[in-house]
Amino acid sequence: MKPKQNHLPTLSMRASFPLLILELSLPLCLFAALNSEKMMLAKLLFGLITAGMLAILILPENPKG
Amino acid sequence: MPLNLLTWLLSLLPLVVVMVLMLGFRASGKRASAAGWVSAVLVSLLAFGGTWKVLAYAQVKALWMSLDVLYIVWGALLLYNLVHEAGAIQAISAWLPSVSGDKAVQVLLVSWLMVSFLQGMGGFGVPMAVCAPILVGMGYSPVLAVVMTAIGHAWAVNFGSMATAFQALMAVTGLSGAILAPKAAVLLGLAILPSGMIVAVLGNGWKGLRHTFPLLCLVSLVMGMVQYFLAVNGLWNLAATTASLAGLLVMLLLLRLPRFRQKPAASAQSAPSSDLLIMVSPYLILMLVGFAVVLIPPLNAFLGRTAFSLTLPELSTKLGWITAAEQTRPFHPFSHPGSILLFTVLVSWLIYSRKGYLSEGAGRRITRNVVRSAGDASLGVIAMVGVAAVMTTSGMTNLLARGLSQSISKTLYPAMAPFIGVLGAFLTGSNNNSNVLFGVLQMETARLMGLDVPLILAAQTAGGSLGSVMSPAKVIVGCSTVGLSQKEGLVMRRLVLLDLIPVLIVAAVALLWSLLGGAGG
Repeated sequence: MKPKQNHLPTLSMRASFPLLILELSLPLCLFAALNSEKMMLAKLLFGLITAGMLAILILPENPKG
Repeated sequence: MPLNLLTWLLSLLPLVVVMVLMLGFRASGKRASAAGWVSAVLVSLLAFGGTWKVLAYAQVKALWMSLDVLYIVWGALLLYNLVHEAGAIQAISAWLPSVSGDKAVQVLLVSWLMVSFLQGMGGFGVPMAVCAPILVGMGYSPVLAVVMTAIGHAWAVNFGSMATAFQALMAVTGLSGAILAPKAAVLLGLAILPSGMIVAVLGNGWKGLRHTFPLLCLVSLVMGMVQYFLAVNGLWNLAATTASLAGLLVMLLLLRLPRFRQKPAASAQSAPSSDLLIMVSPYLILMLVGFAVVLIPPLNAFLGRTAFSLTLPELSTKLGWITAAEQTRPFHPFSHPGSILLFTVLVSWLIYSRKGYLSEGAGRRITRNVVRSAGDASLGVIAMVGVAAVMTTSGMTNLLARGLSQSISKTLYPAMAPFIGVLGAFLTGSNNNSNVLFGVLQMETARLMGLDVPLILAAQTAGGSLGSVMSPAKVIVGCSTVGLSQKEGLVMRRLVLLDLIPVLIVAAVALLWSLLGGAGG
């Protein structure tokens, strides 16, 4: 019998890449929003950047990558 | 922000979080840096009057600073994976024993001389990322490989990378190179020998150091003198690179003398020289193109025409800490070291393909490996640079350095100055940024205390040079090519203590120099 699979989300190296794209593109959008004084959008984008950092911190890493 | 023990400890908190997670809990660089970022944001909001706008602009600034580094990292990873795919790393590892049978000598050639030479073309941990896999190919553990390459080139950071860190020190202090260079060259010159000695001990134990000690002394002397001569004569942008090249040549010459000649190892597989030349051609192209772009003014001017930068407004926290409006450092897409690396990859790919060194599916394998390594390393760099940006725009970094400088007596301050440089470099991953952060502060403190200003600034930049190699941002890059992603804490544990040895030597020399020389400058 196969052991039960663990489906907890992990931050594998493959998952790191989309997160990287977000952490690279969001600050640029944030800069554009700040410059055009769209403060609500800027706050939302900063919130998303923070959420990305929390994801790196909280999600367990996959030792196999 | 008032300076007291509580505010000082709060400023220190993000750094403590990063250090404890990496050294104590062996957390990965990206996770420790993310924790540091979250704690820096919380401290800024709760205790330093940070507003979301200040933090938002800090993140924009962090991204801009990170892009400069990441472009090089991705280029270096691409180059590394290409030469690895072609078998060049194995070829170099197999060739080295034919130069000398002494393992300590082989290690010194790679992780003291070659790595320092590569620092001349681009820093940010790239020399480690290039040289560490060669040591792994020679049979060393990945952790030891990164530690040895980090310590081996720590002395070359200030005057390496076309002396950008030294240029930054001149720019922020307004002092000329003629005033700053002599003492900086002496302090960093004195760090060359201990760096080499540590590498020799790590490479082949105390026996290795005993064998190579005369060689180490002679080569260190040559490198120190060449660096000093060039630096005091206005050629500081070539000082470390030329010094390490001179060291490499002197070492190879000395190895031919009967006194130092060692029988090649029985296992030495000396590759046919033409094959080896083709295999290492990417490094030769990199050097050639790198130096051409920097040293040929019309070419440099032509490629440097296109530049991008961001304009950031004046930022103010609720407690009144003001960060002046600024234009970010321009990004030159065509003369950037990352572009030089990409160009090198393109040409090398053509050469390897023509010679049949790349098997089917090489492109797919290289891309996959780069994406896998770059993802982790890049997230770590972005988060760590974010910590530095949040701390700087919230006034935490300034308070940290003020606390250090005010709690130390005038007599002992010269010994503390390198550690402030180390702090800035550890935080930002760059000797350059450390000088930008603390250069003026160190100069003002030295003036107020009546100390020798050039000596204190030399100690600052020497500390920044030696300390930058143990910063998480650089270690993450160094680990990316030896399969140590997510295990950077293992490297940090060994590296921090060993790298403090040359820092302590520089601190002791600065203290003695100050005591003997009296005030000046």
